[in-house]
Amino acid sequence: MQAYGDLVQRYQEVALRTALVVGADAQEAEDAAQEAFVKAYRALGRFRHGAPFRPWLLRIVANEARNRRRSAGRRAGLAVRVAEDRPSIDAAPSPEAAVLARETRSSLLEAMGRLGGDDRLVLAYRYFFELSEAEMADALGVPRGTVKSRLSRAMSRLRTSFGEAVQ
Amino acid sequence: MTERSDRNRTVDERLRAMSDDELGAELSALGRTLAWPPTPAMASMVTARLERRRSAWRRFGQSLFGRPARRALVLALIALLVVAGIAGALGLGLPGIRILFGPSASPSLSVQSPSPSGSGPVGSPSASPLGGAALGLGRRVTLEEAQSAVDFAILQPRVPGLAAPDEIWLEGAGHDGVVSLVWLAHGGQAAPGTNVRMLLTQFRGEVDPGLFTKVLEPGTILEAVQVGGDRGFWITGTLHQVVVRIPNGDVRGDTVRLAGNVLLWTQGPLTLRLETTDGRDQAVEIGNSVR
Repeated sequence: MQAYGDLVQRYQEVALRTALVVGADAQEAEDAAQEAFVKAYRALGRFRHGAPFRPWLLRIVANEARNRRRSAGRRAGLAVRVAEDRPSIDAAPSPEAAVLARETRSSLLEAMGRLGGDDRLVLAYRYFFELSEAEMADALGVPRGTVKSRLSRAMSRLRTSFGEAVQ
Repeated sequence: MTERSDRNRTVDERLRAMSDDELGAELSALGRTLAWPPTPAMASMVTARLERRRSAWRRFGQSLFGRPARRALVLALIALLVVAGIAGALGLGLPGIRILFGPSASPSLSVQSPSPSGSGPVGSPSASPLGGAALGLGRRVTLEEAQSAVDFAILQPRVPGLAAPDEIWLEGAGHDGVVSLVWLAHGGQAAPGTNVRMLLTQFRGEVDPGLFTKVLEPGTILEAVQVGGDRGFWITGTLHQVVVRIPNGDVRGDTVRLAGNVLLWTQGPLTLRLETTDGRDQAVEIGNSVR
């Protein structure tokens, strides 16, 4: 069990964040992540030949989180906020630039919050968690050639959701 | 307030006008500044959940198999369900289940992903597996091609009397490459359903007993052995899958190809798996000679 405990420790953060991206609240996300680790452990024997663990786990996490969100009957929000600015000594931006950067991040995050959980997941895999295209294909359960079109579609929807009123 | 709304509109318009690359760069920057909720340590909670499930199953098993008469009835029912399931799969051609007929007398059930082309030696009694081609080992290459494709030195057994491998197969490349050496039976004892006598698979990785023993099925016999001065395992029974730790700390699943005995060990940065129709002592002797 120690070896699996090491794996849990290694991936618990990305698992929890994936569940949050799908739209689970903090409590559901933690429950979904833990349940996904349990299911992954029990299914280790069916682990596909040559497959890396992380995308396989994330696929289980996303399903668990989706199920919890649907059972709760909520729309897919995003329970994350932008961190306060941390001033850096070597590259302190001008006050105007700092305000613009903060507002850009806020607008982006609000637009992400308005997206459906699946579009948000595609963007988060690529830009927040920096999964490779192959890992994204595994994590999303789609052929590798489909990843680019999913990403492009999610980008288009993100673009149209800028400035929309919060539902 | 109005000034802020105007500014927000400007920001939204600027974002909307960005190319995918520019928007991607902004998303990456956002990702680095998000304040995610803190992640609790989950290992002990996951272990507790697993323990609870295990106990629940144990209690369920005890209640099912509590008395001899009830046990006999339950076993008969399970047997009936298994037979019905196989018959159903045969009759209905369920997706994902294919019946592979090899040279051996009995058909074997194998779960596979559906083939997009629908071709291959599936469901045809006349189709005879040919060397490594029937084992899904990647693509057939020469030893030189394999060696130039992977970033480790390919190891080979050096036992007197053992010829060079008949076939070399390669899956992936570089750090993630998997090289398989195949020895055909040449009329000798072949693994069931194949004409292969021995298969030596090697890739970067480490045998982690904690993970690897997890996937062993009931009836599998595991024996610790020394191979080339390192710890190894001699496995007999119904082993289908090994799980090993790869260099980046991740794990990967690896399917055992021959329904025979398996010698599994780590040598330097490599995990080696010898699947053979030979017995333990001969397998260990072959393993010891690998360099």
